[in-house]
Amino acid sequence: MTATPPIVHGLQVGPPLEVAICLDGVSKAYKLYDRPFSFLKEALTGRSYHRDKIVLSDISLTLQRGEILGIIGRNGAGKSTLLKLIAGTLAPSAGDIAVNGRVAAILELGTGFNPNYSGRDNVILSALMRGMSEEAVRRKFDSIVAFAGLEGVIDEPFHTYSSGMQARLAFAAATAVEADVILIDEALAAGDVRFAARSLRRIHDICQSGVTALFVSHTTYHVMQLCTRAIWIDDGRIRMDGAPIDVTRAYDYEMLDAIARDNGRTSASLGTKGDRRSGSSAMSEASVEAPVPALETAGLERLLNSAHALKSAADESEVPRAIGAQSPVQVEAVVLEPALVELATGQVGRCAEAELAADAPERLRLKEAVQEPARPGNLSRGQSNGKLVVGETALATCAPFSLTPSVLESSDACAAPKATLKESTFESPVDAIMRPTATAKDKVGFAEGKRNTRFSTGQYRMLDIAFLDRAGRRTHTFRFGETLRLVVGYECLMPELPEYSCGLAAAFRRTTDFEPVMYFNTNYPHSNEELLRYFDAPFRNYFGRTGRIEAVIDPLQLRAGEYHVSLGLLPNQPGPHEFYEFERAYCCINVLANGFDEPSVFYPIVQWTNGPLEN
Amino acid sequence: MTFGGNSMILTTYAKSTGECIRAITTHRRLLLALIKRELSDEYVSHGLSIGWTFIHPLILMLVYLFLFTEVFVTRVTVIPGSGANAVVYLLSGIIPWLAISQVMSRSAMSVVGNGAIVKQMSFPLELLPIKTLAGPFMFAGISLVFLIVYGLWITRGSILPAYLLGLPPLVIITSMQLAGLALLLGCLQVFVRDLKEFVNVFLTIGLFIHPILYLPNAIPAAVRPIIYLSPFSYLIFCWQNVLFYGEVGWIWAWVVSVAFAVIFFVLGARIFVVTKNHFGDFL
Repeated sequence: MTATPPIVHGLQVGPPLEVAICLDGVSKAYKLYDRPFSFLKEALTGRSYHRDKIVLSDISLTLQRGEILGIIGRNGAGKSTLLKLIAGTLAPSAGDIAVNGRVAAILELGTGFNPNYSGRDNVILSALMRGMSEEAVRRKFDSIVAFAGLEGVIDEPFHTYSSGMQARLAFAAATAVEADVILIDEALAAGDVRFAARSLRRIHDICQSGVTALFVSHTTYHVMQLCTRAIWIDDGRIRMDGAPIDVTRAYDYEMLDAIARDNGRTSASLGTKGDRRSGSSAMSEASVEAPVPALETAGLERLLNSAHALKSAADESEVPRAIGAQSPVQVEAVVLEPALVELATGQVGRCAEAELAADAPERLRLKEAVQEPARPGNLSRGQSNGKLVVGETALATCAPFSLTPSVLESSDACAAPKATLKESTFESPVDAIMRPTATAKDKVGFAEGKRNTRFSTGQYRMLDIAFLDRAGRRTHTFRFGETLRLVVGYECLMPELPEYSCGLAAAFRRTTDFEPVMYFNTNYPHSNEELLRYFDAPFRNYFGRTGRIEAVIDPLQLRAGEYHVSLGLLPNQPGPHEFYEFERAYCCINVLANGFDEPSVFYPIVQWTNGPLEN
Repeated sequence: MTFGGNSMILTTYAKSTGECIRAITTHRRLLLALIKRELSDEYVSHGLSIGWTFIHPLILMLVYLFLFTEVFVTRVTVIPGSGANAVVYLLSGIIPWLAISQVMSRSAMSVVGNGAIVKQMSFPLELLPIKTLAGPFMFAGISLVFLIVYGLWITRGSILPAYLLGLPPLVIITSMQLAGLALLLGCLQVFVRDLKEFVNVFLTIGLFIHPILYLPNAIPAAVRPIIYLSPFSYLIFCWQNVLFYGEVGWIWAWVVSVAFAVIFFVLGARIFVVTKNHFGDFL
């Protein structure tokens, strides 16, 4: 069909608006026959002998050439069916589908691969089957193999490869196809972290190459990064169609809402301030029931570290408040629970499980923890004969962006800002503007009517959010190296104050590519030492029906540019927690260059020396 | 039905047939690659690999040769002038029958057995049943070489001209019949999963209801019409015509075979093209 327009500096030059895909009132219903011969009867008599299972109804969608459409939705919402309809492997029950150009569908990896043939034979045949010419296969073969990193073993039988190698080769072969329209269905999760990063880069390059792409993913962060447009399919209908950031935000909020409902018992078990003890036992009960998928390696390391801290505390026959395990109940194991980890992407942290017997050090799986010398501390009471229960969150938030599968190589660039967290009463005289007055609301665009853009469990709410400069003026524009003060007023909506004080988490993402650059919160202990004195920090020790959290970042070490800020209220709790309320991409902060525009995201404060060579 | 209606039907059938042929010709390189894969599929990672493709039919032919010359006393009378013996008669029927039965049993599973490809790839699905012809044809080709060598040796080379004349059109007619049959079975199996069992039953009794192991006039006249009900009888007549009698006689068998070739192919192509969009729903 039409040649792909040339790309100049990432801008597409060519026919400006050309329809690549047009769906008009497309519906798809699978026919379910009760008995096998019903189909024949229907074909012969013309009478209906089936029940319809409606998967998609009345989907109308027009995609221009070069658009990258992200498709999100729950399992079974009809996303894959939509891709199959466009790929032509399914026929619509009603409506018209027009696709302009050659379609390459990456619906499933490894289709048509025969384990008995060599990697070479499999790559060649699958490329031919995906519609590549023999000449193109020959031309691209080496790059496919190089991409998969299988140069040494490409002539060995496919079944001798590890499953990771198989997935890599299949992905490399599938994405080498040249086409005008590319359909990608969740094909990213292949291989190790390094290959996953490379895969995402490949998808990114494909998306940048001017093709039209449809991209089904559950990782809304990828949709935000890669797509120019997103649709949310719910129950077979397009529920939302628009900018990726809006659509993914709405979707994530609903997902989190559902998760909060699923975890109802866990939420309830947070308890109130007076009953921290019963809280932890209830927590363990809930956590045992939670399904526990595997923990990634990075998370496990942090887990080990924390077990360290835990054990050292247990050695003192004393459990600090931080661990929240003064429970008189004998609990069987340390269970790390699912927790909402990532504020900004809305991704849900993985559940993690680790068992360690705190009362029997020799049975402890984690040897280092056993060898840890007793740590002196101001720990005074409580018998920890039982086993401990801690949540994962404190650990997980140590590096929230690397725990979640953010696979872009650079995505771990999360800088720890020099933030000072303060907390005082909401009625603090320092800032009159913090009162939830009408003017203040208007200024930051926060109003009751806007609440649907927030995720909320209804336990706490943000009253006002303000970004202030050194002089205390509200602004969204800052200069590199100056002061940024973030002030959030909050209110407790629960009848009783919960066990833990209210904290704040904030995430900054670069607007150009939604790359996370900064994440900080009140509940993350910065070291094992801090974990032991967790509740001693003044900003974790304030309890009130209303309150005011202030974070002062001085100096602001962000390079000139625009940043999305996401904010959330959460319990100051080292154990599992869920956000009370959060708002993704609450606003944009504009950072101006201060003299020079530094060529990076983050500019550290460096102490330089320069002197004679000796010493 | 009006004339207009008739011509409409003719056009749609011609269109589907054209579509089917186009799918095969435009993707001939892919078909070639798939056929290569199909031929090596059975014996890949075997020690002798592709060698089995030759060993298997040759051994079978030798077994038949031994059985029919040494063990069984056959009742096939040698036709005067042919010079060939009963073994040539039997093999000239058995070889096409083996091809027919292999194609039928394999093509029935050609679409259903490749559900993943059908559902996941934009792929010319016609190639799936068509490529199943490769294996049986390879088998038949090797057997045929064996038979021709044997026939030439028995008849001192007297039937060679007839082979040269009759074989090419007969191969084309057979391919067309079997291609149409493969398309038909391939797509119908998707919707009627019992089809495979019907096919298997037919193939089991097929060796006996077709005039392969006997001459048509050697069975009672009362049951003889059964022979003439099956389209494959005529095809087998043609093969015996060429390989045993060494002539292109029996014009009526040839005419019926050509007619069935066209009917099978056009019908198969039509039904396949109409139903292929719905495969995804049933796999």
